[in-house]
Amino acid sequence: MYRVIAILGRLLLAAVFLYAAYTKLRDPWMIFAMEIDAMHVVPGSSVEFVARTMPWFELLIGVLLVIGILTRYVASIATALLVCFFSVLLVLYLRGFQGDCGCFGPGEQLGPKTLARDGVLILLSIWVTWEAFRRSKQAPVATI
Amino acid sequence: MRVLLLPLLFAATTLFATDAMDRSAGSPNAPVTLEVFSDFQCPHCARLHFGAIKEALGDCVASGKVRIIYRDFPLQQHPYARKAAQYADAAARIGRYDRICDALFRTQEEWGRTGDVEGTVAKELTPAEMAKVRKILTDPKSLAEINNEIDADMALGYKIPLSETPTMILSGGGKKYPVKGDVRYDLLKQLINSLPVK
Repeated sequence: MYRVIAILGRLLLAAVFLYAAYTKLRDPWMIFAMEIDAMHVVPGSSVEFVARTMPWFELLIGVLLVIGILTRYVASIATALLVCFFSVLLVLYLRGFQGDCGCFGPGEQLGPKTLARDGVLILLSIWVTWEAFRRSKQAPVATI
Repeated sequence: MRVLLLPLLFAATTLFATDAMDRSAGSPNAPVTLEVFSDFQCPHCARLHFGAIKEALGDCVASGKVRIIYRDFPLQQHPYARKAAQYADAAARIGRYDRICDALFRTQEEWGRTGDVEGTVAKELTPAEMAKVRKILTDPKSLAEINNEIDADMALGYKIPLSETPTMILSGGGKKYPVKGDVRYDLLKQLINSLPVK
């Protein structure tokens, strides 16, 4: 039963990343670029690079989490990415930024709800990571 | 020579000038429309106005690709924003929208502090033009028309739904995208160019 919950947790995290990628990739990259630019957290020269690559990176993480390969590493990267997003959004919120959070395409204004949701996602991602490491230790080692 | 100049002058007027009544700039036949929802007391709106919008006016609006439609969205937290919109819309009726728009955005800190919108407008217009604007705003019928225009713009914004100013709605080739904040023109231009229009 616990194993099933662990798989569901991993799939839920994957779904979040896949949905985040989809909402960015369905629109031209410039929409996401303008959201990033409005935040003034990325140098102007890097905005295009981040806007073009981030959705594909999220897609890759989502796909790898669904397949379940390299889960320890992928989940660790997902956690690091979510912590990074959360930190940036928290700083922006404290600064009084009122624009879009850029999480799932345009239209979501940064607010306490966004931060609470991202906090929950971090906890989920930490648990998925921890579970992946725990299982890898338990896995039988091949012997000759 | 005059025969040649007149159509050219007419074309230039159509392309560059803001339409007196509907507060738009550019060719009505432009394949791309950019609706700009802004508040005259909002600092980000001023930055957008003097940044990306001015660049667009000199580039893709001048080339006939984009038509800009200005929409009023005075926010509740800005006590004089609606008054400023009324003056700008009255100025539009005498063909001075561009000038008043520029002045209101440029001096928003001053009149935003004192509430002296009329004084700001008066500095930009000739006494005869100012008299016309005053007449428009003291006539209950034309004032009601202006208020209805502002309310209609706001209703349109709420329908989107619009959560902040400035917000632009870019549409063309069957696509529609909301663009928020005082965005960079190079990004906006790339988005405009990505639209599937001829």
